[in-house]
Amino acid sequence: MRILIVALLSLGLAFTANAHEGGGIVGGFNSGFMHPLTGWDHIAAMVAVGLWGAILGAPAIWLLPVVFPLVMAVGGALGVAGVPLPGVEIGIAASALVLGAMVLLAARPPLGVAAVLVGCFAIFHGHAHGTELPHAANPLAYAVGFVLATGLLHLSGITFGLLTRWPIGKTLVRVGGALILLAGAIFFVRAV
Amino acid sequence: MRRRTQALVLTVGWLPQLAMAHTMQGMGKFYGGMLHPLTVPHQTLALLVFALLVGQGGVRAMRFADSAFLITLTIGLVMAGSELSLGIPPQTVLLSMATGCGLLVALQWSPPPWLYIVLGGALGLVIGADSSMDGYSPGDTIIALMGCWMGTVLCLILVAGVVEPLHRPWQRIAVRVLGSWGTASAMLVLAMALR
Repeated sequence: MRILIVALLSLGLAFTANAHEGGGIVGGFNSGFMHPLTGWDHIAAMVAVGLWGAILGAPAIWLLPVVFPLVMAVGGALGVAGVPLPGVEIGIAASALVLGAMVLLAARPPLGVAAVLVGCFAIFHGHAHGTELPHAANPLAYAVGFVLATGLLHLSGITFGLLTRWPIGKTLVRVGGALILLAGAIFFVRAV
Repeated sequence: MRRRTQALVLTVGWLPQLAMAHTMQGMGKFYGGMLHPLTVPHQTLALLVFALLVGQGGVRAMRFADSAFLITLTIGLVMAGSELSLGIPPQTVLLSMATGCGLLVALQWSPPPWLYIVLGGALGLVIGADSSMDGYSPGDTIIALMGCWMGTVLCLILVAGVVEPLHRPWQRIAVRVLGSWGTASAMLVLAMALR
């Protein structure tokens, strides 16, 4: 009971903190953090990366969250530099489609193949985020925000993917993959 | 016993209000200086990622890195107080260092001792020199710079100190993930600065 009261009070404190808007660093961080979260295609693909990492197991389960931001940053740098990448939206939609399929099929290709596949899609996602960077209130805070949000989406996917320890969990994870695949198909059709 | 505990809790709860009732001249500048490294994003990122690297390297790394850092931070702050410039763009240098240190953390590659000294020395000098306090009187500048020194050193020691004892596999992976995040963030802003 006491823990519940403390938790409710903590929630109230969070709202109080939100009463003050901040431009500059805070505004930049907020907009960067929200950027991946305001696109269902980003969310679907990032969760799928975490799910697939959990299916692939070690070392993929931790290698992907370490490598993905780095490769994404390369794509982001291209976006910042104004280097055009044809079919960015198609690439992002395809990432949800392909990664959802990988999860649904519980595919276990060699680590190098999985890494290259995920890396290619990371470039597209990074490019999409990077094009917004120069317009941010504070570019570094924006970058930290969207890198953090992306990482947390991976973590949510990995956490969900850990359910594969149990038979029912394996089914749930593959259902999740199917939903991501379906969503990816819809995004892909819209993008084309 | 229970009443004493309740009285103690109430007293502790009111302490912040009591503390705010009394101001000390110059205390605001000192605390402002302490917070300075946390309010300049490129300094914060470089400092945190370097602290991750030092913590990951263990106590041995701390001996080399912290010593060099403390000395050059002092030199840099004295330069800032004397309005002397290093003649290099601090943001670009700090973000480059954050990129490199973050990569080392992500790869979990422990550099040789001389590299800790070089990195710590360079980081301390640039952060210190980049911490000028504009619009302050000479006395307030000294107080603020002392606060800045304290805040920067505390940040490095605390973060490295928290990371150093993390030996479980998932903890080490989490540190590597943080390193990659730092590198990714710094790379993006560097790309913008260099375009």
